[in-house]
Amino acid sequence: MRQGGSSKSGFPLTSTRSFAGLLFVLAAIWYAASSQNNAASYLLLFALMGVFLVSIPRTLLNLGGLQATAESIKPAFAGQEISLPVEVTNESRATRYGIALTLPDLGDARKRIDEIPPGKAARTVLRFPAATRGEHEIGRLHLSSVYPLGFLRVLKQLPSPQRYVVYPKPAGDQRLPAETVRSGQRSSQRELGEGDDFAGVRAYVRGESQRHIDWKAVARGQALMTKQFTAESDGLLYLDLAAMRFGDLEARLSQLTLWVIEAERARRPYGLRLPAIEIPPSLGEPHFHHCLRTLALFQ
Amino acid sequence: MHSTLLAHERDPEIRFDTKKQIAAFTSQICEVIVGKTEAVKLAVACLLARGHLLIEDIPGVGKTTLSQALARSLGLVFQRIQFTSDLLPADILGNSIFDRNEQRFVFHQGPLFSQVVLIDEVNRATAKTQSALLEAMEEHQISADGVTYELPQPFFVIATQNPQYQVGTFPLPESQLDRFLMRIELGVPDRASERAMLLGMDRREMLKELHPIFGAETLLDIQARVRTIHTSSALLDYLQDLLDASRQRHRSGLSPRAGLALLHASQAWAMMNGREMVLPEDIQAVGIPVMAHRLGHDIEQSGQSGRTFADALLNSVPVP
Amino acid sequence: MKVVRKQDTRIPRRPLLWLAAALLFTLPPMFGTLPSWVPLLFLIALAAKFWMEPKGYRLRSLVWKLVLVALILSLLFFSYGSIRGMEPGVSLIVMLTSVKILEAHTAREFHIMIMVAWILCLCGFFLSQNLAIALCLLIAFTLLLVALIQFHRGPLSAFWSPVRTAGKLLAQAAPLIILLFLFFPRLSTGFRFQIAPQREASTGFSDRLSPGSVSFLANSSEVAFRAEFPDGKIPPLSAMYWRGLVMWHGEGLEWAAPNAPAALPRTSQGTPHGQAIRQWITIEAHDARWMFALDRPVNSPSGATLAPGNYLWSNQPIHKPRRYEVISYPEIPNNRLHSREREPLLEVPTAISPAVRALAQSWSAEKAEPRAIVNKALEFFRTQGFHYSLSPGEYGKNDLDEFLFHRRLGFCEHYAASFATLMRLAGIPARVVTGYLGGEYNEIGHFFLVRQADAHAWCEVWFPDSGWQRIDPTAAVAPDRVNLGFNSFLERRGAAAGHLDNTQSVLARELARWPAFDRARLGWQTLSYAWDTRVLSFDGDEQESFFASIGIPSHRQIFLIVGTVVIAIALLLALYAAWTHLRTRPCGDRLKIMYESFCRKAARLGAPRNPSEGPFDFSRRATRLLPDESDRIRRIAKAYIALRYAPAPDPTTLEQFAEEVNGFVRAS
Repeated sequence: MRQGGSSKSGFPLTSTRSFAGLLFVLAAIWYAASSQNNAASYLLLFALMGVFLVSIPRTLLNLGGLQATAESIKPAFAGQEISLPVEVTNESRATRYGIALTLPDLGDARKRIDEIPPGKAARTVLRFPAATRGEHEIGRLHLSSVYPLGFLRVLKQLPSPQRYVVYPKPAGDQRLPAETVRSGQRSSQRELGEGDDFAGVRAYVRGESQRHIDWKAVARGQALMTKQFTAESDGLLYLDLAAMRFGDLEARLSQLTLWVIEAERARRPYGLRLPAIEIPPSLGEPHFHHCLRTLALFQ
Repeated sequence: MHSTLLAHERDPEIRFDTKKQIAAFTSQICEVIVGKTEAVKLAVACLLARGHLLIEDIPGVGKTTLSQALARSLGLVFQRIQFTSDLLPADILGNSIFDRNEQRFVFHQGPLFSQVVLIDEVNRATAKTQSALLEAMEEHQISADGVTYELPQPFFVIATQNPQYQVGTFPLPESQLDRFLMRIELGVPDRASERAMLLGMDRREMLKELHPIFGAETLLDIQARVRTIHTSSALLDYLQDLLDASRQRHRSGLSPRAGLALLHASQAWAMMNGREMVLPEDIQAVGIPVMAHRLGHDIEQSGQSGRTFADALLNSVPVP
Repeated sequence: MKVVRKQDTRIPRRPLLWLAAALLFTLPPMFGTLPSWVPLLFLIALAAKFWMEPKGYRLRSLVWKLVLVALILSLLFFSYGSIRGMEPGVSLIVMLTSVKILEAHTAREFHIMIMVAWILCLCGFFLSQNLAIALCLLIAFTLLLVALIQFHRGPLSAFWSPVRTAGKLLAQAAPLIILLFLFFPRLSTGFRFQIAPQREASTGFSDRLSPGSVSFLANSSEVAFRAEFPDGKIPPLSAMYWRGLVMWHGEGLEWAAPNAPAALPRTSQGTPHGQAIRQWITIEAHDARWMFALDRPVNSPSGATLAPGNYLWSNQPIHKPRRYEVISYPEIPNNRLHSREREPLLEVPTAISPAVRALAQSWSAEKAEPRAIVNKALEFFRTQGFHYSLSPGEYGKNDLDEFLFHRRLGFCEHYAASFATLMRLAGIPARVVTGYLGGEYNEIGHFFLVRQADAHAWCEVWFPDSGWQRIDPTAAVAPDRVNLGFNSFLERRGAAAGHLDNTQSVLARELARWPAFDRARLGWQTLSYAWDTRVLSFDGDEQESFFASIGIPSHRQIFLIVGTVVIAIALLLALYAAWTHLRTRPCGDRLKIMYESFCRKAARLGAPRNPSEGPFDFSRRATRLLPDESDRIRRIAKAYIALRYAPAPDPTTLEQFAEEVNGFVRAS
């Protein structure tokens, strides 16, 4: 069986609950057949035994040539669900049936793939709850199958070093700080934009209030610009962990998370200040995730 | 370096020479564009693969400098066109103007008749102008008033656009993004490079001092030889696996043209590394700039950028 | 505490359909053997399940379940009077299965139902073992496999594809099943449960010959036994008297056999005359102990004794088909009859009327020679207007007068009984023999099929010079019965007398004239015969003789055999696994296989290759991780890249590559 570089240990076959049932049925038939010396019942017994024996290699090989690849995981807030997209590729020349995907280290997340034709791949998404903030590892990914008869389960363990980030749970009842803090430290990013490019204008971003659009510029034939460009230099919103005087660390981080979301939603540029970490104010998706990630990983 | 050991020994001299030439060419440009070796190399690979380049980045990171440096180091004719919303196709292709002396229409070539063309803010022009440009890029010729004009050889378009969505822009449609072999991002230089730049000479002065490393003839020769870099069946298997995987995972995967682009770019990359054959590593090296913009469209809806998707693709498709 | 999340585990529809189909095929053995309400209720439960399932109904309340179970128990008790014994037991299992069907709805219960269905198959075999039932149960077994496969496959697959898989599984298991059937030790368990033979010998033979007992069988087409003549010596149909029981005790028109044949006085016999006829007889289960052989057997097969009077008597009741070999001779002289033997052979009931006595004495007074008396008696039956009839009307035990002087209408039992009684009255030792006459020859399987309808009764009288002599008074009345066989005889007679007017038999006879149907019928009989002889009769004794025939003499070596079988099975499985492995391995050439072994080794050393990692990148990383092996890894990567990606690889490079990889893999 191709392992694709991953190693595994231990015998891959385990019995399922219905295996006990099978043993019971076999014993019952054997007892009945032998006590009555009933050849037809013996035949039934042997048919059952024979089919079971033949199904062993089938079960064993049902995972042959299967590769599972966990893809990158999008971060989620604590309490939400993490989605792990997994792609299972069938590199063998036979169709594979009834593949179950489980994450043994992460509760009972479980997904079933009914059928993968040869040379094809199937995608599925495993979902499991995001418990605590921070960066976590998936641990192991198990591929298992009880096909065809369900008496034995074959298991393939795939080490899955995938990591995922859980942002703190957004919570808290404090309002977003209204006043903006004047800051001496201004980001110097904008000074770079000299040269042949368009520079010095803050483009209108969809969703912003149209009252702030610089209509004069539009009249000159330029693109839409907002006046907020000038307002931005007034002051900056810094979300500061140290400035909060309530609750334990987790509660405060939760509050900060909520504020980050609110600020992003209100399109107010915000920065983040944690002990030893400072993120200058900005807006936008990358900044948003950067802040949340910092909060998630904060020790 | 042991990759030279692996090289096939057919005509070592020329090969070695070519590699040296390309390396010299690359390093000359790197002198001007400090700290962007990877992006410069990709741009060179794109040039060698006879493809067009799309640079997507914020203003002021040196897009123009890069294209000018490329043009000068090649000793090619360079033109820069600033795209605006009122630009008409004729403004870039050229006009037929009635000549009183000769009593007929004379075609006046537009700025596109040039060997290296830098298009600034390509997404600001209307769709009409964009498609005129892209047709010229694809066909290497221009049709005006029923007459077809060949564009000069080599012909290399570098287009830039601002990644942020703005009102008054016309984002390039998916089909036209496909015409660009690569989309690269230059990005802000790191601190040390920036310091070097701040301390160093004026970039524009430096551009003037650049001397051509090889001329148009040599470039055409190298471009022709890029296509002869060997691609084994195992490599094509890998390439097709990538294409299949992209198609399986998303509604619109990579087109066959994208596959061809990936192949040519990886051939160019292999040649730049002095190899006579393409390795999966070459595909991986050029994979993101070649694939990301072709995959971006569909994926942005699900919150993933084309770049992360291309990255996931390269990291998940096994090398056969 | 682990919170169990409620999962949607309802049984998908398709596996349920297959399961239901399988359960339907377990029904046939129940009809006719169990009270008819049992399979009917089972069917109703199945139908109800399919009505309930889409609506989401099921039997939930425990109270209802208990009520149902109590109801079932009481119903069973009413119809059987007890719930012990096999048939009540089977009925109980069937009824409990019905309840389970109504209740089950989760995936786990689906498995339980499959198990229960297997037990139902077993019950089916306990009720009946004939070929048709076996085929039904085979279909049920296969459908259960299909249901399981479908269940584990999910709803996507094509409708018939699980059937194909189940077929393949069975086909692959077939050699194993045969091996197990031949070699698996048939130990008889010490703790056997006794099944009281509750079956009534409704259609079959009995140890009493009363008026109407044989004609009652005449309409039964059930198989009594099948006989083969391995030496090819086949007696004519008219002489094919299958000897069953000898009745010594005469009560006019009713005769009876002794309860225990061993109690009979043993008579001395002379050496048999004529041609020895060897027969293989496969007898159907009849739950009594008589066995049949061509008139007259001289040896007893194992497990049976040759009772005085030359008939076979099994040591155990025959609960399942049994096959035995026996040798018969047409004549066995026995010219000495002691007086203590002779006396019981002349006993007649006192209730016999003077008219009958007078008739018998008139013959013996006329001629003293026994043969002459017998001829006289046969003459009487032939000439005095006696008729052979299937429906002679009711006779009592003492209605000898009525039969002999008034109605003169009778079946073979009437003639045999009255003739024997008359002989005894005339002073000639006589007895009645019951058995079968003739049979149907199957030209495909080369055997004779003897049905219950072929049942017959005849007489034997003792002559001082030659001993016991068979006399068939029926032959005197209806010679065609003896010469043609019963069915042809009936056909000829029935056409005239209109005995068999019901449409079913008309249809059957029409069909029988059609040659293809006839061949199919014969083929089916042959198969059925093979099933009985090769499969059903293969028990512990047969197994031992089979072992002996392949050179394993004693029972002690059984464990050796079992060991061999286990090893053989393991080998077979290993071969199969290897074969499947080869088939399912991703297609790759030698180069790829070697490279993979290199990667595996590298992974063991601590540098696993990422599947999406190219060879060049991997070698660079591996040399960093395994500095000791860096040169070799570099060489391997170089060769691999040259072989796999370069335009025209040098063939010698492959050998170098193989060497390097081997060296690397073997290095500790």
